[in-house]
Amino acid sequence: MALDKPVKTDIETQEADAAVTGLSDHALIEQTKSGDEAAFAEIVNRYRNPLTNYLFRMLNDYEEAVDLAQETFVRVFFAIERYHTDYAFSTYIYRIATNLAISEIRRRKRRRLMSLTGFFQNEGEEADFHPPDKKPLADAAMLEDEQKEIIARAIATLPDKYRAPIVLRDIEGLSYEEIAGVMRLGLGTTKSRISRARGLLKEKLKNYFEFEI
Amino acid sequence: MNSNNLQNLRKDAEFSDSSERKISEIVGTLERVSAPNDFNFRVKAKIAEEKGTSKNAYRHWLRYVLPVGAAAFVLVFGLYAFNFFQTAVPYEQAENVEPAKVEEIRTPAAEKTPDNTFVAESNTARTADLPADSVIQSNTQPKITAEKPIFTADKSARKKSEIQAKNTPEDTFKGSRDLAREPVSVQILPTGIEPDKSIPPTEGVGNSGKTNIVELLNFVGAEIVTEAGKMKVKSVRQNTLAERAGVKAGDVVESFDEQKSDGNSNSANIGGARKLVVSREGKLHTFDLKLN
Repeated sequence: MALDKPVKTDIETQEADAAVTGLSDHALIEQTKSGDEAAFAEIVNRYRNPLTNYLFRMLNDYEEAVDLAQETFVRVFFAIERYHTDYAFSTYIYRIATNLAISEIRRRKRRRLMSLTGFFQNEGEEADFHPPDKKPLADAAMLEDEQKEIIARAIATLPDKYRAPIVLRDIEGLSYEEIAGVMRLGLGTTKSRISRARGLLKEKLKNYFEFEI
Repeated sequence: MNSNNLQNLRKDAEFSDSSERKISEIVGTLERVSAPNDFNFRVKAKIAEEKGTSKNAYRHWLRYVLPVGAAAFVLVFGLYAFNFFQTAVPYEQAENVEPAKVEEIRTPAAEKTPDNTFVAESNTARTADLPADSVIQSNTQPKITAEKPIFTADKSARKKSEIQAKNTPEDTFKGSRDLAREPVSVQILPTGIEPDKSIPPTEGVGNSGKTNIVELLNFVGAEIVTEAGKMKVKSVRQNTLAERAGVKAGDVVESFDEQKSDGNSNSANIGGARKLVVSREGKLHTFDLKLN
């Protein structure tokens, strides 16, 4: 999988070792196992932006997406001895990020259920333990028109099992095989879920876009 | 991901209709977000924080071990409290319930004593329901003549029943616990007397069924043989009354308790002090043997 390499700042360039920039993911993993911190820093540099973007589209919350992306790298670092090179590293790290994102989504659902059964909640008054982020999103400035925000929110309302495949496919550009590896699904199931996710999005966006029937 | 690859992917025959292709294109138009500049620094800080193993162990203790321990403590305490109150409730209920109601609660086989003390149904009352062979086995066991009441109608009746239980005759059945409570009488024997050792019949004297001088002296530790109609000390056992008194082997018994030793004199009484006179090398020696 070809991933866009992030633009490094001066500080990050100083941190990254020039000797590891041309190495493959597996070579970086091996060097990290031997204690090379520069190799792990290069892994972080390669995947921090794709992971942050993927998690942001999954959660529609930039701060939470950044936190989960960092947590993903922490888990990779501590489980690096158990990593096998049978799979692509991108599949491995996206799987960790997907699991974290799904856990966070389910945690939010539980909080929402708790709010429905709150003892101090008056009838008709909406109380939420995890209130929505009212402040402008970090990338809201980049969303030039209202349509993009609507699309982002529509994606965020998809069920977990449909949201991750369509984000990985249409936003991150992973192949069906890679998505099947990340989701631990069969190839046919993966294609079916992506198609189903597009159908659900079409239903949600039909009031904003014109589709040919 | 460069845009050419994405476009190539979308050119694949993966869309069922044009609307699905359009949705894919719309989703693909969303702009990408980037990680903040301090992302690497924060990742390093988190890794350093996670490396604090002692802190992690403390978190695990709080998260898993402590709740499990607390649950186990509550369970044990609950069981203890349940047992405590379960045993206490029948006794307290019996105090507050009127006698007539208590009689209704009791089983039909329960016996009613004149002093309003209700005796629980004994095991022997149920033998009719048991098979014949089991009844025979139960008959071989000691018969229970009195049973301790379980429920009493009021305090006075309960005290009466307790007094009756204390005044139970000795021939009634007692369990091992009752026997263990009774004081054991210890008989203190004088030193030199071996209570477990039976007195062997003396040679030449015979066992007439009566205690004679030979047997008495043998009892106190001096073995007597009869030679020419006279009793002679053959040997003296160590740590016996005869040895401590000074009797020695070879002494000839002249008299015992002021009775001549003709070998046939009987002495039925072995209590109190006895005076033994022996001749040793032509001289008479007198020993006081205090048997009691």
